[in-house]
Amino acid sequence: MKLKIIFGFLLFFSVADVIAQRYLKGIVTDIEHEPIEGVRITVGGPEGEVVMSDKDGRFNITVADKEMEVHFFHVGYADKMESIASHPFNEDLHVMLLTKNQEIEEVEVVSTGYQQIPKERVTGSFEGISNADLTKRVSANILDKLEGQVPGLQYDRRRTGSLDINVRGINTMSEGLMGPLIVVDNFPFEGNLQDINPNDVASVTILKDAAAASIWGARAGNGVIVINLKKPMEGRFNIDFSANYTVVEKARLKDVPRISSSDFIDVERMLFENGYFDAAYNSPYAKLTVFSPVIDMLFANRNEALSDVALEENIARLRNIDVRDQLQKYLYRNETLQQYALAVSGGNNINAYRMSVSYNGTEGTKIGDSDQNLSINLQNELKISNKFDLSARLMFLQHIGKSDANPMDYNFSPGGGRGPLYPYAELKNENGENLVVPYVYNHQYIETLAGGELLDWRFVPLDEVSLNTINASRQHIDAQINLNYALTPWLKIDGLYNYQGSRAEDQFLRQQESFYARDLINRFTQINEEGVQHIVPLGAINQMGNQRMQGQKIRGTLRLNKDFLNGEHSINMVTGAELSAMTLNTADYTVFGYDPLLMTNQQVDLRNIYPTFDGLAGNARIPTTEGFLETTRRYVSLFANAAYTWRQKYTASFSARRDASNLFGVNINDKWNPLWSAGLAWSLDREDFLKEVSWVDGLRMRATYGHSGNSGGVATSLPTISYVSGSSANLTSFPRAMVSSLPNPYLKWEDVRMINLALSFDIFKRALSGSVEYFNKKSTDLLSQDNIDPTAGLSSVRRNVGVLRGSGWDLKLAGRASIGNVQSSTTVFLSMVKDVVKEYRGNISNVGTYVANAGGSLRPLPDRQLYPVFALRFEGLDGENGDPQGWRNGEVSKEYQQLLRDSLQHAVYYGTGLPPRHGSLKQSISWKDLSLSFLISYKFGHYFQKPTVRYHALFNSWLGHSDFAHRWQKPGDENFTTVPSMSYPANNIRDDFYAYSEANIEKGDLIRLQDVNLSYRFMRSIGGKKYTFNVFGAVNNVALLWTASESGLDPDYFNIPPSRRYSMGISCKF
Amino acid sequence: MKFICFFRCSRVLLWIVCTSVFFSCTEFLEKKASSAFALPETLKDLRAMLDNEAQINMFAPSLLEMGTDDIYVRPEVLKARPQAEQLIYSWQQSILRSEIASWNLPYRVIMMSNVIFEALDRGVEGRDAEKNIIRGEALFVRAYAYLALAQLYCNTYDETTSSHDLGLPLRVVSDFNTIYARSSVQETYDLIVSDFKTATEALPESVALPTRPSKAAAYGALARTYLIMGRYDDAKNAAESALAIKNDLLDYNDLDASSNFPFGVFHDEVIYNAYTTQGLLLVASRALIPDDLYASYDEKTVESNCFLINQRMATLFLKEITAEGLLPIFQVSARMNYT
Repeated sequence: MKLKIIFGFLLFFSVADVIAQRYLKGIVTDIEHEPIEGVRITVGGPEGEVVMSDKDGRFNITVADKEMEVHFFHVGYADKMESIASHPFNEDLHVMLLTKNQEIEEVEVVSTGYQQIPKERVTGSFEGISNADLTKRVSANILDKLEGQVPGLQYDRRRTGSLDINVRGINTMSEGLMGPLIVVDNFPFEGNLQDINPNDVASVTILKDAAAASIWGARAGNGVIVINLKKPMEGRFNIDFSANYTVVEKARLKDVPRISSSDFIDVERMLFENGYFDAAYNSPYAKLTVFSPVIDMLFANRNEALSDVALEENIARLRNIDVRDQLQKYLYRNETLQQYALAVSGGNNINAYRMSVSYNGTEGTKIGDSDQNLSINLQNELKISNKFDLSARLMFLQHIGKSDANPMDYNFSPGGGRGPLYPYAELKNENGENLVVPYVYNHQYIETLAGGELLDWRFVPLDEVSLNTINASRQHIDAQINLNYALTPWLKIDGLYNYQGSRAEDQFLRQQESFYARDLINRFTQINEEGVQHIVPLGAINQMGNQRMQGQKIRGTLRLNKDFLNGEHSINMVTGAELSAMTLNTADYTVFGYDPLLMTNQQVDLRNIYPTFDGLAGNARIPTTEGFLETTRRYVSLFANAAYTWRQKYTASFSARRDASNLFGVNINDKWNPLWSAGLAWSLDREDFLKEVSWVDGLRMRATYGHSGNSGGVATSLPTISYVSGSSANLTSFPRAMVSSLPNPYLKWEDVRMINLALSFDIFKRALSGSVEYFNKKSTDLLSQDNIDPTAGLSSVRRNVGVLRGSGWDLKLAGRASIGNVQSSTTVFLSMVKDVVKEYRGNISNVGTYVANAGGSLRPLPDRQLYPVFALRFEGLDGENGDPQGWRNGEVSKEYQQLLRDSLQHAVYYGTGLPPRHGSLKQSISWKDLSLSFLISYKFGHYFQKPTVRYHALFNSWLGHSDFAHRWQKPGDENFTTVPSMSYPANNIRDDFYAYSEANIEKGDLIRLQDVNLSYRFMRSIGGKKYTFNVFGAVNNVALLWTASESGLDPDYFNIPPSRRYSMGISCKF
Repeated sequence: MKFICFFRCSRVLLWIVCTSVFFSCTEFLEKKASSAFALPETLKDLRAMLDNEAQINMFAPSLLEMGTDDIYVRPEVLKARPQAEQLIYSWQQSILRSEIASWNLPYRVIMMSNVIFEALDRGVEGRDAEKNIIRGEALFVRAYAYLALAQLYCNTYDETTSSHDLGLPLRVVSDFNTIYARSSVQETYDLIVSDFKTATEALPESVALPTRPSKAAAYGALARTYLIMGRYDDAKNAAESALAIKNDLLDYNDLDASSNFPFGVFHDEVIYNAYTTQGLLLVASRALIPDDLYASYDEKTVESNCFLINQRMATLFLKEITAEGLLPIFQVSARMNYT
């Protein structure tokens, strides 16, 4: 009985409790509506009730009336807070959790490498590239994939084989200080970016203004690119596999304009008739001069060793030969690339992991060139306790490269006083025999030596294949541990440690049969009464280089993220300190008489000077590379970043950083340099007056001001000297040192002050969105070589002589539309930048310096843009003789010497060589599961200088240009050509004048179809599991749609334009 | 409550960490950025600077030989050379005369020797005898550089006018912010003579290689200076002092006359070696020896065929006297002192 009463009381109380509570039930799913098991659901803080979702994602939790929020936690997903204030409590609550990767896929959160900030709280200028955009172009290098994807990011590939990236223009005058900082996850990456598996990259964030980048301090003056790797994924076990194959068209060697073989032969005959070669052909120094087959035949004919008939027959045959045809056929091929990647991820709410393996193999465009990349990436996230998170990453990257260093390629120079090879050279004859090409020495002289005690001294290009190989291998390890401890839910401490180490080994092996080895052995062969002595022993020559890098970084941060008064005030802060050290060691050496199979080598005498065979190279020592070097970079930094938001509408931010480094020779106090920024943001869409307007979804305004820097120069009070290793060209073998810099106590770091104003909008439910940003920057104390009085002993010193001012706009407009099953999305960017030099206290040379290679280098000048394009005023050709004419002292002039040394004021200034207006158009259309997209990029407002014929170089060095065919030949031609007549003897000043005149400056405007991508996505259920497939085909470097250049040259490339690439691939997720 | 305490404690901890980091930073940041860089603080550093023959020995101005009548060049060869060289050969004054190495390189040597003097004045560890030798060498190379410059860019020394003839800017500190005006020819030669004189006292009699100055070299250079100044008695005395220390002569019969380079770089007659790689007009394939200079040599020298190649075209090509196109026009050699 008593039990019953007690039981009744208890029941009463429990029922009474129930009246003040309610049950909340619902289901938790991911973005694809798949249920998530094991989600921790809490109410009322960490002490409140906790339930877990079941395998159907369903949950059931009691909630007191006063509770407003329910929290959802799962290690593989971003934490979510749901407000239930207005939720009817007998309805299911459907909660969708986004994975951390997906959050970034929608670019809702920007990551700076120090923290992740929700997009609605940022004040700085960030651009995000999502995973979907990164898959549009196939490349082994992640940096290639960013091209054209965001406004403000510019790629400069004008110089062959090099890539310069800039964010919002140039902020420095030193070529060595250009380029944005590249960060992988939390730390700058010390290895080679091409080695990183692009499939491991989830998204990329670009930090463009001071508020965004100033947290990176003295290395962020040019902007920052943050590469965010994929993190361990959801509770389910997931496999991701992809494979693709790319084939590239052959190198476009014939796109470089060159003089035709027929014209070249005509020039040779003309020179021969004028006795041009007579002195050189018969001089005792003819042994070291290279002559072409046509010249040899002309002399043979004159000496009656060759009949007239045979001469004319041979010459007629040679007129039709272009060496580039045989080069492409025998030494070049279609480049191919294969990529395979496999990633596995899974875990539960305590432990999540991700492992990925990828392989890239490239067969290069030159036969014998290949690259292989292997990347293994292991990641793990562990929730040790409620408050303690540990995440670890181990990345192993390996690169093995092989290349064939055959001296013969499209750039080959035969030496012996010549530049390029004569255009009618042949590598193989009709009978399939590999032919000799003159190289370094006069080949007739070489023929006289055949059969003696020397090795064969001939150069047969097609026999050299595989005799000169460069093997490069590189291993890089990147290990990182992040510890997060939550002191309270809103205050967290992080400790990060990153270790990066790499080893690289290069080997340049030249077999004994290679020309280089035979030449060296022969040169040092001593033949006297005692017999034949090989100072350089018979055998291969092996040149080795080793590089070792080790870097450690440690960072401690304190993060505070707290909302007060129900979201009325919120504070986000991160502050901390960081130490980083990196050491690089290199060692080089060469061995001779090397047997590649036995791996043995011979001792050589490197010390004594020997006479070379027949005095061909004077007296010399055996050339060798030997040396050691260690460089160390150490940084110490303190940083803080704080943002305060009021009423979720108004945000103010502040960021500061102090850096110090170990650049040499100065007092510790002078090494520190503070950088800071401040910003404001206003979310107008949250204002009451706009809440009513339904078609406005988002409207934000931002303004920031701040300073970031470029480290480069440090004040010194003493001169510094540097030791140089002995080289075989020296006469003595004592240690030697040179003065590398004189004391310069006024040197400072460069400073970039940037103001950014932005407006971004989102209307009609994202049907139309975009942003307009205006930025204004001033770079002061820029380091630059400064010409000084040469009696000081150095002709120039580095001083803070420069001020650059720049301003510009970044515009973005995106639209989405859908009609039935067809969806279209269009994005257009346009960036405009103008960088003008405001102060330059260096020496200004005469015009000759600026008209050569116009637009190709920075060359700061007051009130001019960087990469200035200048040309000499051109007044057409003289009607009587085809001489080019200039303008001087108010009249037409042919005083070429004076024109080239004239003052810069009289030159014509066009503008800049780096495009000041550039952008892209991204369009994608999808119909059900099929999607087509393309990327068009455009550049306007720049100029470039095209090469042209130079008669002096043509006669002396065989450097020929196809403009030769358009030269003035008779009176009246000046009406339709500007190419001057050929003059004999040639006048190199006349050539220079024409080459640097207005006649050769062209506009560089262009529109290029960059990428086209067609993909098809389908899902299949196999054995109960759902598989998602994606197949695609893509073309890159599709076509140059339009250019303002009259000569039809591609303004983006100084040399060979890139070839089209065709790819196809498949990826599979399950 | 315990959170606030924790917060404060962690703040304090952070500061402790930061300040200790800051102070250990000093050592952390002192590490040299590159193993190749150093401050000139030890005798080894100064010795290495003076042994840098690419800068100290290779400054000889080619202008001194290019415009002289010791060589001549045929018209078609001359026309193929750059405009600047053609103007030098024909002694034309023109803004196109871009050849400035003859001015820059000697001044670089002067700067290096000033850096060495300043380092010695700041205090260097080592035996006084060695420091003396270093000082002597630096004085020698500086004076040698000024001598070359004086011959090119100033009027010839003449006792009556040289106190107001314009001389050279005489740099004696390495700070590039200091501006110097031209001194007078008298002051210039006074500095040269006094530097050589001090060097004769400081330098040793024998050196490892002729790229390092020795006592004999200093006397020889002094003799040449007096010769240029017209002080013939002083010149004779200085020359005899030099030969008293080193007077080896070559026997031309021992040399390989058929080779293109019969003399080695450091043959016995060389007391001090300075050379140039500028002025490619002077290369053996281009410059020829005029008949009258050829005729002034005695028959025995000519027969030995060591200097010249006789060619069927009746012109004479100069054999390079040493390796790789280097012209030792500044060799202080015993032979020259005998004329």
